[in-house]
Amino acid sequence: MTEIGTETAVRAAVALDKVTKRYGRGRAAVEALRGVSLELPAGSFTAIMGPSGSGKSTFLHCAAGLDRPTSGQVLLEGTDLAELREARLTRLRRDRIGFVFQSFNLVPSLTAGQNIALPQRLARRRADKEWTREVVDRVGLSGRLGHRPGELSGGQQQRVAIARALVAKPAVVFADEPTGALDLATGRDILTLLRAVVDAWRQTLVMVTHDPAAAAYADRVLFLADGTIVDTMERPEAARIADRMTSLGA
Amino acid sequence: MFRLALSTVRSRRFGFAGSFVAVALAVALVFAWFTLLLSGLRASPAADRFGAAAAVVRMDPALTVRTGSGQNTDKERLPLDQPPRLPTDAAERLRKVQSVRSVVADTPFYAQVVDRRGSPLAGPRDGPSLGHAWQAAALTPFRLRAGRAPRGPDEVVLDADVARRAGAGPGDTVRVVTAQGTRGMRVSGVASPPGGSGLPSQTALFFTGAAQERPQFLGVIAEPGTPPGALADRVRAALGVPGAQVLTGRAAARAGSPEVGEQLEYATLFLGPMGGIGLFLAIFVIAGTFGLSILQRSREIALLRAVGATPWQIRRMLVAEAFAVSLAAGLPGCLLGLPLAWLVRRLMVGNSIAPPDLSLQISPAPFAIAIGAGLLVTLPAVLLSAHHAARVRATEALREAAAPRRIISVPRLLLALTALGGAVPVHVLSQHVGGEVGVAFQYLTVMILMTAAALASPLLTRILTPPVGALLRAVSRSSGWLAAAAARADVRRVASAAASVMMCAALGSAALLISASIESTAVGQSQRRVVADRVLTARDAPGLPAATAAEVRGLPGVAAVSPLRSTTFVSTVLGSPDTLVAQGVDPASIGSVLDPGVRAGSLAALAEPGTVAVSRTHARERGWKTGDRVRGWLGDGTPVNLRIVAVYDRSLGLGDFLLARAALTGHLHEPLDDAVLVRGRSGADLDEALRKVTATTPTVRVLDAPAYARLSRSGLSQSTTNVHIVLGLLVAFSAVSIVNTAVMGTAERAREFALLRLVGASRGQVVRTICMETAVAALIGTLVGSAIGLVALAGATGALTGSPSLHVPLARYALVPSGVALLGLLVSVLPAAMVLRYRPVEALGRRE
Repeated sequence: MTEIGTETAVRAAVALDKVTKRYGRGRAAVEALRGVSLELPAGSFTAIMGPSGSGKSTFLHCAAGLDRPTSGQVLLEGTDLAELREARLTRLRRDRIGFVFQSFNLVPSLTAGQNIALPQRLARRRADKEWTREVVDRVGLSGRLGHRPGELSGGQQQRVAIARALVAKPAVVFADEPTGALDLATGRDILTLLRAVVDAWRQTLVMVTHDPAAAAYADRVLFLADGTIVDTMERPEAARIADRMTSLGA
Repeated sequence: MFRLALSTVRSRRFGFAGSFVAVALAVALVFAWFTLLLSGLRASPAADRFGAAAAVVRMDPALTVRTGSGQNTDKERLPLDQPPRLPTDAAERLRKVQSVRSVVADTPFYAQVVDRRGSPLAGPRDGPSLGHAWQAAALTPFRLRAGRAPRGPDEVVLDADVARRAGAGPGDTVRVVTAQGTRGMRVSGVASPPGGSGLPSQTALFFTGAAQERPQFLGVIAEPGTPPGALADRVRAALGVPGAQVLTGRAAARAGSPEVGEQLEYATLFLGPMGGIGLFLAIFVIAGTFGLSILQRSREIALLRAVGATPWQIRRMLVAEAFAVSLAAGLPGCLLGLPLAWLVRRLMVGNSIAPPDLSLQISPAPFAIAIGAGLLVTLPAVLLSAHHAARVRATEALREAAAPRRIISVPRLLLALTALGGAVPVHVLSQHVGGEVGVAFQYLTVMILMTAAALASPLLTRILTPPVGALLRAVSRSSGWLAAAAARADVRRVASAAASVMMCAALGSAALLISASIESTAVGQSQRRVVADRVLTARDAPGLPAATAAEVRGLPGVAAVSPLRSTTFVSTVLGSPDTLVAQGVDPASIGSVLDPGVRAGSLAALAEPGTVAVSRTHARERGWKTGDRVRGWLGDGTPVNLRIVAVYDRSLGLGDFLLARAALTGHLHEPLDDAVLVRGRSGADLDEALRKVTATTPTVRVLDAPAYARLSRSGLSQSTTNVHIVLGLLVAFSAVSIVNTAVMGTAERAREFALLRLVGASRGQVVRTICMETAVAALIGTLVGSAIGLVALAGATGALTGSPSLHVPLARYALVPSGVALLGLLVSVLPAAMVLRYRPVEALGRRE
């Protein structure tokens, strides 16, 4: 079975060093992140949790290079993202980073198969057909590749998005509330799939969520409140997570 | 419902901006057109030649023809080439009217000064140079600046402007050319009108009073303080001449400077088709824009339906919104129309389509009409789009992407086919009528086909997308592939963009190809027609003295000479009287100098009195053959009944009737010829012989046959320029609307483009994708539009020559695809800039 994260086993997949993100100026300024520092090892499944306004999405955007922090460093496989110009960041997004959003993940005019192959198309690279087939099988989409997003259910759309993220064999996959728009049963299927992908292929996965049940699938849960990491838990159960969340929100 | 509409408009400001722009543009176009039209109708010459006269009397210069029969009689007025003159005793009758101080007769005639170098001096702005009796100077009034009035037949008073140009003053001798020939005359004085050294559009020369002749104008100078209206009534009553006109104010000024009046009329006529096509385009643009905006809101409308709104409530809401937008766009549109009207006027004056006397007059009427037109055009446009949108069932609309919808609704398809069918009889009729009228019909055909194409655009797009998409995929495997997929997925959006390009391309290619075919046919006919060795034409003058032809005939080495003099001939075209051109020729020698392609009969037979030769296109339209009789009116209004002795082919640039020159003699005010055609004996040196004629008459210019043909081309190129200007304006109008729809379309897909960037598309790839998506619509539109243009070309050549030809002048046609390409680029730049402005994350989170 092919492993994704072997070369990066030595380095941390994502590392943040005293990252601060401030919006606005002067007295109206809002600090979404305050001096966040952490390392996410390769092959780990990390969940970021916190109440709304805690800075979860900002954290994800900074870690993935979508936004530049006001101060501090973000390293992806040892590369400082702040040093990269737009063109190289684009290539990074294409080749080394995968995204799964809550919704609106897919290009509506392309079929599922075309959406999955999109990053390769943009890179003008030939797709690895063996690998693509393996990913599609793992994700459970065989037979639906010719359909457009409008013809797929929510769960199927998320599977397509995950397949697209995985096909490029990225260093990290970032997921922003991937099960937020799905019902319980479908959501559980997606999370099981994500867990399996991490286990089988040593894929690094960072997932932002507000659902304790979803976070329970992760290796580690980080709790964000008011822009800082206030707590971590290793291999927790949903109940413990829920308790911790309530005390955070207070 | 209206309050809901207003709040919806306010909250979806950006979406409505597109419709607002479309309506504002249409209103601006209507406003500009109407303002120019009214200004043209109200304009009067800058200087009034009859300024000192309270009233001016003349005979009606138009021919009145009664048409129809019984209950449906109608009167048509056609301007006469040689307007009739007043009876000689009219002046006496008027002198007896109360408060009339004096009555002055004025009968202008051709008189031109030749300067020291031998060049004839034309009037200012290429206007006429006219001679008057000295008494007529009182009508402006012209006052002597130097010297004295002319006393003998060899004396002349010049206006100050031409005196300066000729470098002549009192006591000098100048050569003066008239219809009778060239004479040396002594300048007895120099005169000028009030406020200048000469009239702005005419040169005036004054001679001693001529013998008793019928006057063209009678100027009535009144006692100071006489109310003009009452005086005009008294004059009218005292005159007792049927068909006489008593003019005051602006009408009198126009009568005094007919060249300005003609130019103003030409300008007004020019505005006609521009307004028609403009309105046509405006309807399409507004319909398209509203259609698109409603399409974009189909989800919202479906929601309203699901919540319980009836289709009629939806329609009322959409119509109310549209009205709100139209009303808001009314005044800004009019204000935008002001600089547009100024720009169009500048273009027209700069290209000699309109005289500078056409000054913009701002009046309230165009405001009301333009705003009203905006509202009126919006109503059917919205009703059409709203009708379908409101009827859709809620669940259908929410799943719109999934369910395979019919590309085009049956009623729309039927309408398109009807329009297509309607084009056929128009085409057939145009071929039957033939000639330049048949060519004008092609524009009607083009508009009908454009309507059909716009209605059928979704179907056409569906058919043409696969090959165009394949082409793009071959060009770029990433951007092209994305663009092709997007086109295949959203046929409606591409169809509406393609429809706009279709119209631009159809109009552009039709106008270019039609004008090219007219030009090439005319030049070709002229080249084959003129077999003379030399042609004498007038340089900077309205014609050559008739004696010139006789003089040339007497020269050594000359084999055949024929003069050419054109006048109008009123005949019937398509059942209503129309003014055509007739040429007077010398029947004996015309065959040696001109080959008009005689199909039947012989031109020599024109020597018999009461005969005429007719062009094949006109004969075919009227169903005439040799031996039939023609009823019509000559240039001075004389009714004639002539027998056809010949039918000829090459009438373009020549005229539809040929007569003996001698037959026209009594019907022309002045014995002038337009040209003299000369055929020399083999071996003779014509140029040497003709030098003598040039010496006698300085206005003579000697050309060889190719140069003469080129002259006709330059005459046509003026009308071609006019066509291009109108087109340019209309294409610019379409272009703005295309940009409008493109921006609207792209704004809604901002999220999709943001996703592409997040997935790893570079800025360049996104821009290229947008450009290629535009290219799909542009290519489809150009293909269909050019096809329409080709139909117009075939129709035009068929009408002109009898057999349709698809020979495309590639150099001219190239303007169309290059123009579309430029347009496509411009159109992509704006939306691309919009899309790239936001960082991908922001765009993803933004609402529409």
